[in-house]
Amino acid sequence: MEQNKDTSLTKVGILGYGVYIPKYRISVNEIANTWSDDGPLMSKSINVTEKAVPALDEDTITISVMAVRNSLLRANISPVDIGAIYVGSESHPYAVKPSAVTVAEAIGATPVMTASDLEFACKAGTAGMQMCFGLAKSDEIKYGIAIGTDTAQGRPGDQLEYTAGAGGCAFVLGKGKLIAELEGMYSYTSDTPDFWRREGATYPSHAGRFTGEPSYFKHTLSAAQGLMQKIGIKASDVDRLSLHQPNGRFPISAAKKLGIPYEKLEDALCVVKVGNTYSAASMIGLARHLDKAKPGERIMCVSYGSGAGSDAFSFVVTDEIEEVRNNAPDTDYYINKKEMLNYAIYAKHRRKIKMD
Amino acid sequence: MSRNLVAENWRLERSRYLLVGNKCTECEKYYFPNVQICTDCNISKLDEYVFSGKGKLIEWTKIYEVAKGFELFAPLYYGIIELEEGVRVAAQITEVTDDTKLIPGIKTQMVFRKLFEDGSQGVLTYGFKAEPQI
Repeated sequence: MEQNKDTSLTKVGILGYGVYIPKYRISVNEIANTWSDDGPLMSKSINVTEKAVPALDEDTITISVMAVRNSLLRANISPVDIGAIYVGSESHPYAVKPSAVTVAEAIGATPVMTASDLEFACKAGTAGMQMCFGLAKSDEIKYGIAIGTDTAQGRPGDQLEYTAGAGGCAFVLGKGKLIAELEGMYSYTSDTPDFWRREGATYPSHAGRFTGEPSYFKHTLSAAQGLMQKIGIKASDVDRLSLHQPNGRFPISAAKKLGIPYEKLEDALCVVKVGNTYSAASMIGLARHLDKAKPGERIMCVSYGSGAGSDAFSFVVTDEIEEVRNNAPDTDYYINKKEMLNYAIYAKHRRKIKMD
Repeated sequence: MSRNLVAENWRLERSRYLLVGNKCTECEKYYFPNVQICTDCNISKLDEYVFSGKGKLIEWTKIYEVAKGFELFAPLYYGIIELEEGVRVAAQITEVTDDTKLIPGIKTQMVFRKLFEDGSQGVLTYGFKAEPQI
């Protein structure tokens, strides 16, 4: 039997991407002053200067809608052709009632489609990407949208409070006019209880130093190395790298351990200015690479979700990127559009003040 | 709560989420929210129309004594927005940190935000708000 030579019929990848980050920020210094910590030392040790804070009328649903609308400006497809929408988050506004249906309705993609909310700590967004790629590759859907969004909470005074940020990122995935072609994906998963939030609990708990070596590093590195082996590339073949960024230190160490120089990671390190955006973190890093990448460059993106698991993807940027890149605001637009808050107003924004 | 928010939200979803109105097929007049009959030519042939959400601020007001359920959001800013299609819409204005910059005529963009929370147990209401482009 003759092989199908038209590879555009079999290749899947990214058709559009969109980022949204709320404009409010609180500095690590301001949080440290509230709790009598050493701000400059804390900021240096986690390599984060400030973090994004959602407005009072923003949540995972509204941030997702804004990110998806940006992704559709780039993908230039009809919303009715979208067959699946997955919202990955650990801060869905409802415990029961999907965020994904509101997102789907707000872009006019309903009703002939599937939708679901996903949760896997900080990697639920990339789990959605895998599901969309699978459905698109098997021609069950034409296009799918995977979204990673969080409005993360940190217990007041806890280490997490310095980094728990807010933001969202959406990718339109499928076959067609690809801006980045998927080369392969690989996951690494185990039951590793480094971070959790029980049903009904307001704030998550974490296992301190246990979140490092056996958790973040083991899963991130194993997924990245597994993917490179699977598709037959070396670390030196990677032009750009995006990793999950719970703080500004971990991804730098992980890249070093992978043998990938800091310069290839640098563009993805948004955590320094917007904090850890949880489900969105590695995806926003990938989006910022797409803001700057040249056709032909290979981008590796590795997420990490506590509990624990990592999803690794390898993409090769196509010529189409130049056509769509400027159709929506880039990541830097949202990083630079900011308004600083003091701790009192931040506490109001994050509902840390009880009203009844 | 006496209002049936579930039914109201569900009925208004398309206009609140997507800014769906309509346009007269005869005189091309735009309507938001949508109407059954064109008030200019009295015909009922109107096409559905999705507004872009781009517009300008006509006037605004600031409410300190807010209704129950909005206490956390006080003060609230409401405005009349003229969409680029010429239709005027009343909308809440969001992202106001300095109201001296709210000068009539400035550009606005409708963004997707949470409009109301029905206590801690009820449904959440979403829809458009105007964000000043300053």
